[in-house]
Amino acid sequence: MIDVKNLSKSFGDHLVLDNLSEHIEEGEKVVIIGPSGSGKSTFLRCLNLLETPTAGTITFDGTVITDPKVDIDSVRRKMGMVFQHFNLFPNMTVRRNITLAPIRTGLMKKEEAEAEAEKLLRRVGLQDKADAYPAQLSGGQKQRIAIVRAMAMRPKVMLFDEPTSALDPEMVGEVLEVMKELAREGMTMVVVTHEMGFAREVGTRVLFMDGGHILEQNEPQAFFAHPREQRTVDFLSKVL
Amino acid sequence: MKAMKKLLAVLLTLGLVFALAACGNNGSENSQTPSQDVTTSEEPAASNEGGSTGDYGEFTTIEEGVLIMSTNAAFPPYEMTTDDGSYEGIDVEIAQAIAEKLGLELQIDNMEFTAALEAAQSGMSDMVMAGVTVNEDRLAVMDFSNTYATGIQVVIVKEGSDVTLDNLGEQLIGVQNGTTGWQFCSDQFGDDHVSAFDNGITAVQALMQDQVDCVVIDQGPAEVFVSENEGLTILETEYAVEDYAIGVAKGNEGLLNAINTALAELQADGIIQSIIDKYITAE
Amino acid sequence: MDLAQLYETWKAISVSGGDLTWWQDFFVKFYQAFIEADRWQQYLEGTGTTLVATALALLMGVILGVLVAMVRTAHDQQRPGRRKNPVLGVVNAVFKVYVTVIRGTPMMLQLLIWAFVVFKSRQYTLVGIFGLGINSGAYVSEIIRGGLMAVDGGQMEAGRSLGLNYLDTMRFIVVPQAFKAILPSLGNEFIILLKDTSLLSVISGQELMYFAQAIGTRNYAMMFPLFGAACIYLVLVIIFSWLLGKLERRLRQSDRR
Repeated sequence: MIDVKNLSKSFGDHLVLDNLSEHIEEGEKVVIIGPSGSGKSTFLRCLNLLETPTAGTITFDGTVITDPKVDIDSVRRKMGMVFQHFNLFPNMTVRRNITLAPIRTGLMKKEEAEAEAEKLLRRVGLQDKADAYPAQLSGGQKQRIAIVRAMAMRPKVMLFDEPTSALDPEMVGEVLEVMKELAREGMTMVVVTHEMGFAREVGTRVLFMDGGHILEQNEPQAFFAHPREQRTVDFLSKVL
Repeated sequence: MKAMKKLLAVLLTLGLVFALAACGNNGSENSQTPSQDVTTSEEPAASNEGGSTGDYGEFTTIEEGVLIMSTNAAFPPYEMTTDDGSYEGIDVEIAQAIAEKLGLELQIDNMEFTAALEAAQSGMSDMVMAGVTVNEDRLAVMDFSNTYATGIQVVIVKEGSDVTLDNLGEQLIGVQNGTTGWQFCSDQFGDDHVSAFDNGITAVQALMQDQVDCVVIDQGPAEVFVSENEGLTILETEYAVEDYAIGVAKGNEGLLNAINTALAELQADGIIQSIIDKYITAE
Repeated sequence: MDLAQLYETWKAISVSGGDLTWWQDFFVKFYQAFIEADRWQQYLEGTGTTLVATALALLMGVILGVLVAMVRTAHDQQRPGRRKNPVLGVVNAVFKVYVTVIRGTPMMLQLLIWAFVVFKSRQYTLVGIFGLGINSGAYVSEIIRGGLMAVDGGQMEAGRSLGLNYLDTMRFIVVPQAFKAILPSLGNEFIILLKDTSLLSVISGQELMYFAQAIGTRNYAMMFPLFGAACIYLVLVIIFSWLLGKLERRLRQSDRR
């Protein structure tokens, strides 16, 4: 579904991603872990071109999206993204946060979008917050709504950029629960996270990144039980 | 949102039209001057058949049949505004008399003194009449008519003040910005001793509040100021004597000659003197 | 005895050199500045011109300011690494010069240049309003640009990641947030604009300050007309600030917790 070939990204002189290639199949739940500064967030943000790659190609659903001629907006409509800091629109109600994109991009009519929002909100248990503003919500509620907002576009893949890192510990669970349900429904997911429990339970594959490379990868059980690289061992010993 | 878009479109169009019109104006003014010469020069000649006598030759004005005068109507008794929004004063009435002689309708644009001078130079008014004195610098940028009135620069002081013409150089002198009084004083005593105000009244107000030690200004307005404000007096010796003239754009000799001819007639008829006497009563 | 008679009586005393008590003196000067010959109507007329001039210049300033700010922000936010839009580059450079020149020269100078060098039109008031609008546009554009830049970058990212295009993201997400943030500075700019209309009198614009000065010239007494004009400006600004405060409170709705 997503095919990354020889991807490099540098900020000025600083090389963040170094000639990286990876393939993600439909239905996979890929969890990316690694120390900070390893390039895992940059890698994720390159997948929907929030960062423009310095070199290499990315193919999504048969389209080479790194081609400058590609309409990036229509590509992004099929890739949902959830941010560490939620990035809800504070000037709109929750309902409008969710329905804005489907309506403006012509994906749905207003009534259709609102019914969809209603349905999604009920699924995450926040149907009573439709008319609230983001400032009135807790962090966990905000992130659940951010997930709903991305889901409202009916994406083919969901990208999560450290979705629980900015949350108070007691709110992490409610967000992970929503993500697990998404996974059960068969959504293709790429998740950058520090939640090793989530990686073990939900992930179909774990990537360990360090210094702009994917150092090692495996299915979760084997990855956590028998890490091959010394740096993976060091990292896991710190976080587990 | 639709309304907003419409509004925006209208405004952008307006702005564009405005800009284009302005450019058009500029262009035509430069390119059409010769042809305008022909058309307008015939117009006054035709209307002259009416009341006025004498030959005013060929001349042009900016607008056909209209004499535009730029002035600074804050210089009594030469020019001031009236409550109904029109203008009065010595200059205004003389200008009116000239316009009648030339068969033109007088229109007055009232602005800052320096702007009034600039308006005549840049062809936005036919003449500037604002108690303007002729000097070399001004002759370099515009042409002047013959003298129609004599302005005497006097010194207003507070009663009992020890300011005299001899120690003027030690005082802080209030003047009206752009006037000859201002030029003379700053040339003679240096800018440190001169405080220039937008108009004569403000200068006198400053004198009343002791912010300046004296005010050098034209005798006409000075007498009015002194009669209207208690505790002020005019020094007996005059500071300077100067001649007032009408300024026109450089090279507009037709209009200048016409104005001079009209002035000569008005002077011969005693009309100018009677206008001056009306505003400046000899005590 | 009605007020007009009272005025005539006391004025006669003053003219003939008699003494007036301070309040009699005050009354005479007040009467002279505002009531004699229905002069208050001139202040009203001037206020009307001032308000119309402010409104037109404001409209022009805001439209120009939004346009300039949008172009300049769009130019600065072009994605690094991709080919820059050359048209945007040229327009951005032009706008940059515009803002620099207008902010770098005094308003009165600009008005004189518009009137006597550029337009050479006798529509002085219109030219003056145009000059005010152009001037205001430069300041407004910088205020708006500052507001747009201050909106968290994550907002733009979130909008774009949902597949909204740049203009839609600006229009629905960034601009409304920026607008709320810049409202106080914008209000400040509008108040300055209202008071700057007094400069129109320099090039023959007949607004409030023009009439106050004209009446002062006629009376040979400047103080009362000036205080009168000052009071009117003050009242206008107070009303304006109050309206602005109401708008701000309405926009703060989404901040409620």
